[in-house]
Amino acid sequence: MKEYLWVAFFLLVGIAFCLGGFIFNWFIRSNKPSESKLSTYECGEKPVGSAWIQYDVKYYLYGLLFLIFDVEIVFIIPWATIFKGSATVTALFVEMVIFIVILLVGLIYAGKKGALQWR
Amino acid sequence: MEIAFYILAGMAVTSAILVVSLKNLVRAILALASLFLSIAGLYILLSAEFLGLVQILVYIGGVILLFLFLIMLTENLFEKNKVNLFQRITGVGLVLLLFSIIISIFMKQPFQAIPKTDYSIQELGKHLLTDYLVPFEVVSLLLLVALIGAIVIAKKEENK
Amino acid sequence: MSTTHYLVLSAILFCIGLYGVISRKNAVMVLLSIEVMLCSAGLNFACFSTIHNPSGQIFALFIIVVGAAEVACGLAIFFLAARLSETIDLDKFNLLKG
Repeated sequence: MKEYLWVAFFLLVGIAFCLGGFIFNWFIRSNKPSESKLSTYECGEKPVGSAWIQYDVKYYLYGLLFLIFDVEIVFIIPWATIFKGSATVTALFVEMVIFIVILLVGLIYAGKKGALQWR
Repeated sequence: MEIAFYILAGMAVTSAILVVSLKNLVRAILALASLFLSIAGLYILLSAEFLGLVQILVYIGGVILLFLFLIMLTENLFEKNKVNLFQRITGVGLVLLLFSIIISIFMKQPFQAIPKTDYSIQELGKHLLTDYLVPFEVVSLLLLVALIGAIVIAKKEENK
Repeated sequence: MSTTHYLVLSAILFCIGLYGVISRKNAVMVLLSIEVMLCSAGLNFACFSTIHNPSGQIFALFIIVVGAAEVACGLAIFFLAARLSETIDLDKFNLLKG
């Protein structure tokens, strides 16, 4: 448990670093807002339309695929740690093959539906 | 130990209250991320290190990302009308009732000190692949269903 | 440290989540509140697993998976509803009303 003190320490230092930058900046900057300064920055051009444009649904599909296979990894890690030196290697292997094949069906379906293509 | 628990618990309760009370959806989602982080810290305090890491990996890495993507997709998601006062009072009343019932049950139990347990990830894996084999395979089926269902629903919009 | 500390904390989190489910009208906000409730349930399982056996941790793992699957499907439904009916106010979802 003691090692996690270092994690907490790094977390605190990271937060303090970012926050310290902001607060220091707050004190030394000059603040003279005008209308053109307050508008959305768009590489120096005049901003066009609202910032809330509707993105394409394909971004959501990529996020979805990432989430599903992220969860899959969570179950593969405990399996991988006990695989070496186990007495029932064949059974373990078959179990994981079933697990992965079921999810592979989903991946193939996503590919068929065109969720993997970048258009 | 004690002080770490109280800091994390305070962070969790504060961010949970922010999640249910903030008007702005994006801020509520970021408060949820802070809640997940403090829950991961509590898991690690309970020496369930694998769970804490999974919490960070899946929830902060995946779920929060999906919520934020949804915000990008459409602007119709934001709350337009105000929260009904009647609904709010009913909510507070019901929740206080439930909370008092739960606490009265806890008060009947003896205090039980948390023993020093340290389940390794191998131990978890052994349990998962022997005692919980069927749920383990069903999980992959659940993920498959979620994947196909979400693709079908989301693709329907794209084809129009 | 006793288990009661953790149990009271998870009871508080659960009640906050329940309040969110009851009082919010925005569907995404309700989903966020449900995530809070799932988190508290997982904490409860992990707490009891320290005094019994690792099964509690495995259940918490399953809770995380179910939460992820729920978010994936739920958000897709809300997305479609937001595009179709311009709002995701739960009081306005009455297309199926007879």
